[in-house]
Amino acid sequence: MPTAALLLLIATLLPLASFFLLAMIGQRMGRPLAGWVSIAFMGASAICSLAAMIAWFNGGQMAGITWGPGDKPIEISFKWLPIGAGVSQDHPGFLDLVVYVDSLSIALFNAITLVALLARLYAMAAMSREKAFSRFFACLDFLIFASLGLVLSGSLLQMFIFWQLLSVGGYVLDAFRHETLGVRQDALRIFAVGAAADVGFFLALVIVAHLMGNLTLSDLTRLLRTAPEGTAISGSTQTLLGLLLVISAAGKAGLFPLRRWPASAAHAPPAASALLQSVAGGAAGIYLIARVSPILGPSAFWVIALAGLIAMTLAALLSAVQTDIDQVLAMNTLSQLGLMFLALGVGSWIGALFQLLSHIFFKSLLFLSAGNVIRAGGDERELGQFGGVLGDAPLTAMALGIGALAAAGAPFTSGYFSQEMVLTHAGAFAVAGWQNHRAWCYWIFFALPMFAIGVSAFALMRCWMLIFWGKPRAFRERAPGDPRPLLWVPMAALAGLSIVGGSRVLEIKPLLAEAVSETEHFCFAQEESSSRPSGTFLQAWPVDVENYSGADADETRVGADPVRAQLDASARLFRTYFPWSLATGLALGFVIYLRGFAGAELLLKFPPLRWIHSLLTGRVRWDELRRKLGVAEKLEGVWQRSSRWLSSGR
Amino acid sequence: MMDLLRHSLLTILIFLPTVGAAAVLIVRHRVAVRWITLGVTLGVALLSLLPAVPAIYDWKDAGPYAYGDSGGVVQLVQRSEWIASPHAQYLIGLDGLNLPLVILSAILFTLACVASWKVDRPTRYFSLFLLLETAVLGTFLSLDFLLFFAFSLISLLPIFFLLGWWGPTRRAAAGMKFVLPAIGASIALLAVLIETHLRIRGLIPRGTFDLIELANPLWRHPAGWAAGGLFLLVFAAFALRMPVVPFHYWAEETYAEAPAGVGIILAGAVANVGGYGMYRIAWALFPHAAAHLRPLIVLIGLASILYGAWRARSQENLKRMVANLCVCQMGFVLLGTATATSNGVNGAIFMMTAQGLVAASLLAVAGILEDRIGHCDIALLGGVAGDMPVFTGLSLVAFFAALGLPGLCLFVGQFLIVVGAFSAGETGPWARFGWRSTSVLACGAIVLTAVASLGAFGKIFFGTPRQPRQTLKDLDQRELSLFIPLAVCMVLLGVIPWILFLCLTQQTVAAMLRAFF
Repeated sequence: MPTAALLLLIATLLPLASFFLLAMIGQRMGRPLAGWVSIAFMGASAICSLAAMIAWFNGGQMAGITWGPGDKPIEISFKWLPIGAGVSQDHPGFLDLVVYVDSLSIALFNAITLVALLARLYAMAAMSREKAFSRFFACLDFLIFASLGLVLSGSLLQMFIFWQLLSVGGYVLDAFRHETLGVRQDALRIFAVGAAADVGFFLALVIVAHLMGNLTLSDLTRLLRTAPEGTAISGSTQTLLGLLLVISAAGKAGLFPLRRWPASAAHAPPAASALLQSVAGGAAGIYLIARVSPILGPSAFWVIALAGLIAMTLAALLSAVQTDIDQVLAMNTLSQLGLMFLALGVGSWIGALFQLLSHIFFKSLLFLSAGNVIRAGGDERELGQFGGVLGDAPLTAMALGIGALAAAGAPFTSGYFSQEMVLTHAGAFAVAGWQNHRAWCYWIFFALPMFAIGVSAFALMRCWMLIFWGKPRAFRERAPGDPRPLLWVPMAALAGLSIVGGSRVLEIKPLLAEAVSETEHFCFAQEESSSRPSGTFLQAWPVDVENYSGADADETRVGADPVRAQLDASARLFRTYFPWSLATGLALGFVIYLRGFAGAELLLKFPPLRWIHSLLTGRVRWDELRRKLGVAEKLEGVWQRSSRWLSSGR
Repeated sequence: MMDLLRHSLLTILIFLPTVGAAAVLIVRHRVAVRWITLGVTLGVALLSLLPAVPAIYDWKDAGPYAYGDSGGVVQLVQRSEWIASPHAQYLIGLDGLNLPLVILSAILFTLACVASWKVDRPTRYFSLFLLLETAVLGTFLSLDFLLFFAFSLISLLPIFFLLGWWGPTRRAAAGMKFVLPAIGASIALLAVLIETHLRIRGLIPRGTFDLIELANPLWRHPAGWAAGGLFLLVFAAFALRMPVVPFHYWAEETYAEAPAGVGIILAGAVANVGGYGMYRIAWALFPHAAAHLRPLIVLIGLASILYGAWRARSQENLKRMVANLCVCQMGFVLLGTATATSNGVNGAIFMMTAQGLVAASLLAVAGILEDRIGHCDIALLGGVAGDMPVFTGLSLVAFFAALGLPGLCLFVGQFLIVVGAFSAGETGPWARFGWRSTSVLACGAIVLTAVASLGAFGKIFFGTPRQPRQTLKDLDQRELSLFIPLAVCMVLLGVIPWILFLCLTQQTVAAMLRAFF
């Protein structure tokens, strides 16, 4: 087995080993030791990932295939489940488990292990008085094992396995503070919604297994992209598969209407929410769609783009009216996930994953620093109870500020670079649609995200202002101060990553571009130019906007020169509108909340704003509304009656 | 020694427990009796693993559905005259259908012995228990219809006494509720047996009860109304054992009233006799009738899946919930059988093994709860996790296995069966539509079981204690030795599912599909 793959396999299994160790003797290890054991294992895993990156960059050979950045990925299959004869199976008669390594996996492994390590360091200090200390670390280990396993999988079946394990990890962390009834019920509800959405994934698996007898992703890509007529999967089946997978991914990401994050954000401890929100939850959905996008039909991309657009705008609006710190951040996550979906839908594969990686850094930072505020305020999450914390906790204020700026996409932070790329591509998509079809509707793919980014910036600024600015709004015995070094070291590291993550220092963008060419080399090795994939797939738009020459563009799509023109137009649009959108959002947030809620209350006297506000807050309290209407009782009544009827046996 | 094992392993497997039962009756010492039982069951379990070790028994690459000597799939055959006049033989053999079930049953008997360690009146209990093991293994291994019938009838006797003497409250009623209909079902089976015998006499003057010979296409299978009626009789007899809708009525009460050890055997081993009989007898003897009645069977399977999953959600008692989950999973087994595709049938065999493990684990959890708290009413429990972290962790494996989590055993069975169902109806548009909607509905039921299983887990283990406050003792050594093997088996089957298909199962299923599906 090549070194890079072996190292990544070890990096995946180390958290599992730590999980078993803690599950068995964690209770006996006691409070500090269990955490240090988990940190040691996670550190080893991070080192393995780093070593794997070095090995990957050095490249190598396996079975006549040269692997390395820009060459080909590593693919190793193990026979797993007998299924009968199928198309181009590696082991005849078997479905395989596949270890798949390319530049994308390398990048994600390093990001995930690093963030997981930092979150553990943070938890080490933040959870020091927790009774179920070792259980918490065991759950974190399981979650990280599942997400690393997902990244390493090269077959749909394996992805589904880790996909479900991820749900379980989420469930045990959501239900961590299970002594409260609501927490437990919310955790179960989140799991049930996820399970219902996962039926889509399961059915997709069943259909592909029935038609092809092979679930290895690279085989499917090769067959479907080069000779779709030769396979048993027709165009409509492909569309169906795409829809099923998108439903499942939307369920995981919590996109509208499968929104389920708000509940989870409110209950899990900060270190866990940081990981759930940045690495494990919705990110998995993005990753899944990114990996399967080569085999999706063209109509699936419309669904992805529209779902992303709706989710992004709605969630941004909702995040502006939340009164709970975690809810603001959770809604921001949703908005960001929507942006990534949009990116995948308009053919900005690299943009989506770029955004995913920078999101991992700044969202962990946001949740950890928000956790600081919450913990120091005595488990208080309501924005109305804070105010004027800036003087007491300048470091936390700075960390939260950096995270918020990066999330908003302020220049020189990682968020700016990734959002620039996604929006430029979305703009180019809109320009192309306008030029080719003369349809106004294409402009919503540029205008709505621009608007949503402004609203997000406003919401984040509002959150920051309400916590740190002005005078304290509630009496507290002890001012929330800056925490101990163990807490702020991981925050400082994440703040650094949030700033440099997108720039040329980390070289994430070129690495992702390599991942695209690796897939193409691997799956379309024989046919160089004749049957290059067409349509919205992987690299519909060139990565490097400035140095793009037009010569190596995808000729089959819209021709070389129009692409140049579209990108230029889009970049111009971006440069014109983005600063305004961002600055307006930030400035409004600053000015309105300069004196606590006073400015906002003044504004809410004006009917249109009040209407919008009540509409948005009403939507968030959907459960209350339903309770008010009595729908839940009626449904529950029907349920109870039918259950009683069933159990009485009559 | 090796020679003895090579030639009469199966006889040893069947009758070693009988010898143990005799020893138990002779010794009659409270402590010694338990150890004898544990030794015997453990010995049987280890012996049953021998055929799965490739180094000891070299399975030939198997051919048709016939005896091994002529290149068939049935191995380790032992044959001798039993009753001369209707030509019944003592005929036992091993193939891919019964091998996983024999291993599973042998392991479950060992674990059930551990689970019923502290039972009162141990002499009586363990002698009946060992007798039951003989009967169950005999049922799985016999290839003669009359022998099968005899063993399966004998097995009802110990079950009746075990349920009636050791249950908690309404035990006699519960015992009757299962055993009386089961006797009725046996009579139905007897009727089919006699009718088959009379018909075969027209062909072979001596007559035969040899199940492999009866399944052979050389013999013209009965067709038409008569065959349909015979098939339905056999089907009902086995559906009662499984149990599936509409023969499920006994399951809830019987599982709820059975002591932990007996419950494990009932749900893990005896229930599988039903699923096994479907292949070995119902389908093998009446393939045409089975093919004609397939829509009905699919409907019954689907009804069991949905009904079990739906009803499991609303149960207040853990054991009753398990009973309903069993109905749901047995519905999957039936569905897999009815697909008559290689994936579906392999999946059904996998599912029987997996559900035996899962049901046994869940009933063991219920047993521990009854031991510590005195009942297992979900509504009256809570916060067990605080006092019993190890127990909680091991139970979590069982509950997650029950909802079909990938990486644990049940998922593989469900996946194979649904793939089989999806690919089954290639005969026409309506058949295709029916099979596909069936598989979609079955997928939906998986969500219901998830809600049921995880909801019950949350109520029992999470939250604050609702039972009278007392410190609960976590699992001791003996109980750990019950739970850890179960958890290991569930994880093992889920992580490396091909181990179940190592020996013969695939070949047998392929031969069987060629012969009579």
